[in-house]
Amino acid sequence: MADILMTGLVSCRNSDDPDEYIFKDRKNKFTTYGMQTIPCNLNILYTYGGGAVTASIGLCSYNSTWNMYMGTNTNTGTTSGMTALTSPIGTTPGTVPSSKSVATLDGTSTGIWACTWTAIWNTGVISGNVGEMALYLIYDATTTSGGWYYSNGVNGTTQTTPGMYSRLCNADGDFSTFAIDTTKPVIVDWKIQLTYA
Amino acid sequence: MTNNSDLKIGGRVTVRQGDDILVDNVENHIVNQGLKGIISMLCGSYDSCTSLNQYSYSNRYYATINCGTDTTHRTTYSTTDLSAKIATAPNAFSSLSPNAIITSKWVMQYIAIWNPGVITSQVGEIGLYNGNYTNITPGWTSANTSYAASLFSRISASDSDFVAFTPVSTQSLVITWEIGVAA
Repeated sequence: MADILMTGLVSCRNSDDPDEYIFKDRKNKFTTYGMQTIPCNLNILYTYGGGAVTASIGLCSYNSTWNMYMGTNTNTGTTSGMTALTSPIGTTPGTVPSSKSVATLDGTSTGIWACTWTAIWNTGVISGNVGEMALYLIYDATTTSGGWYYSNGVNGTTQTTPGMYSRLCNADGDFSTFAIDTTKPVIVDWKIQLTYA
Repeated sequence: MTNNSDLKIGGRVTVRQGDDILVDNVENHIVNQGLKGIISMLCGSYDSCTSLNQYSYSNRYYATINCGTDTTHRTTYSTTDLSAKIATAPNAFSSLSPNAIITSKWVMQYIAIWNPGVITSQVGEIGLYNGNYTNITPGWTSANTSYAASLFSRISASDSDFVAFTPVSTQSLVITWEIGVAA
């Protein structure tokens, strides 16, 4: 065992049937936000209740502000520096899911750890031909030598902005485009998994 | 287009005394506590301090490097500490900013220095410690919680990462440990 593999696996349904997938476990591509957040989070020193009494550092799933969006683009591949879907469905950054949840997999006994974000768009909430989709998590881009901390003069939280952490797209051959059946919900499970290589 | 489908989270370790390179850029072994800390960052909501003039310490605050004497225990993902830790902390410990070496590789670098003669016993294992988060309940929050140092990754003679060595007493022992995320 040496390196750890970090893989994003995306599954999508457009059905009430929990076993009926449009695609399952397709590998996403991580953007710069997805790559830099882990070392930048490792660089956190502390929070300090200074002039006021609350100082918080937001993590990737801060206050349920993480999100998923879908888009229609079919000809633009994912690049490291990409920060948004190319042609989001709905007003930028996209149509928000109707409900969201997070689950984790404890790898204590197996060495396989995972976090899965699930988004559900209720029937008729989203429509169009899907060619791209993205996971937005709170990212950390603080690159201070020796670590960084948060001490606020007033109550507050830093690190609260979601950014495009990873993307899945037709242009990269990740999945075939599909037209949303608006008579059924759309459900996406986005799993980031850590395994020993 | 990049191919950032599978990212590799890894670590590289180099040990020097003067001009001698005792351990040359070997791969470390990240253990479960490190992986749990990363999953905790992904699923967590926030880490906070809600009391006036109080600190909540985590991650980098507790980061350090320790040596150990063990030469018989291999690293497994359930390894939680060095087998025979030498308690002596580095005389100096620092870290460089997380940095993009290239667009598809981000690296955090830690540097530990022991003054000449401070570590005199044989070194057969070396560990990187971090104030790893420990909660993997989705949306977890913590208030006024300081996390303890725990082993993040290890290299060892028993894993054939390097040949056990005894530092000479006339030169500083310098360990450089890089943790990187790369495509």
